[in-house]
Amino acid sequence: MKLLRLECLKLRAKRSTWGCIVLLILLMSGIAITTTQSTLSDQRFNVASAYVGFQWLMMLLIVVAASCVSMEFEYGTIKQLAVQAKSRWQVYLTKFELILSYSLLLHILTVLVTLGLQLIFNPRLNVLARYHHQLSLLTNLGINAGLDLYGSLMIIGLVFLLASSGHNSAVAISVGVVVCFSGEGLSSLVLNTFKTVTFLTRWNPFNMMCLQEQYANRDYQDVTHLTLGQLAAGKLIWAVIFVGVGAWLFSKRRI
Amino acid sequence: MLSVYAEISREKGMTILKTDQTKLVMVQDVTLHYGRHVVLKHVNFSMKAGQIMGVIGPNGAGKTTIMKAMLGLVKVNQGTITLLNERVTPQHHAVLADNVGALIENPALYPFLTGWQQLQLVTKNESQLKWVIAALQMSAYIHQTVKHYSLGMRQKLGIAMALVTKPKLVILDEPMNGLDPQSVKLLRDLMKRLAQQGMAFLISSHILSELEKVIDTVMVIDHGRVVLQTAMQDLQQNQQQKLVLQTTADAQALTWLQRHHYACSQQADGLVVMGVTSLTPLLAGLIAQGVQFTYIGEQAVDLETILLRQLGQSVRGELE
Repeated sequence: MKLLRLECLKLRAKRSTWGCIVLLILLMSGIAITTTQSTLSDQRFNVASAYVGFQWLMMLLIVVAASCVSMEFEYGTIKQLAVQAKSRWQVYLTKFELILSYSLLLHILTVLVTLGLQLIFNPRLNVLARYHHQLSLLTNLGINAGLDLYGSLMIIGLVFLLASSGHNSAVAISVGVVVCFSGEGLSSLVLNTFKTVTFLTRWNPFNMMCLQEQYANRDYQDVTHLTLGQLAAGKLIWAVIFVGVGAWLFSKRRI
Repeated sequence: MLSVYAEISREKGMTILKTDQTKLVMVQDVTLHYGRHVVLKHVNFSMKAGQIMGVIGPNGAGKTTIMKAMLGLVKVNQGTITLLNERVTPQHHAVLADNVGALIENPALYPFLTGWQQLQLVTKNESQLKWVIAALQMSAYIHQTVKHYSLGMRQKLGIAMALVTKPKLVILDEPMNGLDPQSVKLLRDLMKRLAQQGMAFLISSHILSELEKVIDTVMVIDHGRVVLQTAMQDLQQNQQQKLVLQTTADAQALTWLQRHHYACSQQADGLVVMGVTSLTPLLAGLIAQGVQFTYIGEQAVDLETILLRQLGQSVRGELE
């Protein structure tokens, strides 16, 4: 609990923590402004996808997560942390818990900002009206936020792992962004290269990035070769693997 | 185990325990190597409450590594380190959290935090925070962010973080780095005061002239081995006394001294005579030769001389 309090203090004091929130709102607002002249269908799509807020959010989250781990080695503060905590595993898991909480807050904020922007820029839309899967637009927005939040588990795990093995956050940020936004392409590359062992390669981590797409469009199963449930389970398993390996690297790294 | 500790003082509501007879820290037969490179070789020493031990040695001798091992930051290949009878390893070091403060290599600071926030990472106790800020005279800048601090200010903050909880053992690696003379004196006086209250210090420094003013025990490390460990008082007493003479006729005095089998040499600060047990015959003899004295004094044996002598012996020992 003490470690979590200390990590919160550091996160709150960092300008980038608040800068990310401001930037996210600005970027979402920018997209919202461009939708005023769009068709109702496009407006619904933009609201359901939080005015591209989930993508922006993930990119900013990758930056915050990477620096949360790598700064300890960059500033040499890992020595102080390692002495204060029972183990470095505890430090790592506390940081993971903190960034997950930050991700949750960002997702809640994104949904609230989306609703605010919808009222300002797309007032003709009724968020309670039916949209995809016979659910309201508001429910679709909520489900998308939930799926994105669930997806952030694996991305944060991967970024933490990369940040634990490198000397600065640049590599972790770059790889995190590539995996996050090109996961589908990378997965197709893997699946097409090793066609004979699809039963195995379909479990590659990049494939798990298609969870949201497959939820929106069930035909995606032909691409991923996994059911929605399998994708969700695979994502969780990869998240656990990334966190475990990352924590091990973090605890073994020479100080 | 803790029952043997006697409470000796209270300052600003905080209790400091003193263990006069009991060992606070025990380092036994510690050996550490990275691959084939041996960093520490059978290191043994112990510390008790109130002791101020200086660790000296050339660069790469193993001073910082032994400190890191005591903090559970590196895994030793052989031997044990115990603090308050609890073994310290990278996996098990819960005893460190409340009992040890440390400044290793550079101060570990987050540039985006203020000095006050940085100290809050160590303790929430406001009276302790205020005490250390006042003791190290940091109140003028404690609420500024660390990125605006000078090297000396950062160093002071690093030291403050090590002291703020008033732990039983404080490990300081090169604490005088970047400090101005006033701050060095302030730190020296503070350490002496805290040691009197039972706080133990393990300090490494290359500024030997400053270190010898504060330490009561010295440990010389070379190539990962402890080549000397002794109380400063014993060290000074065991050193051969040297007499320094400045005369109006050094050449004539030197000839007379050599003829009378005194071990002497001409040095920059005058004639240095070693092993003088009785002063009167020496002075009487020289005066009879018509030699006039402008200065007579004793040459103090400083830590630098001791270090260089010990390292010389260590190298000779290895060659033999």
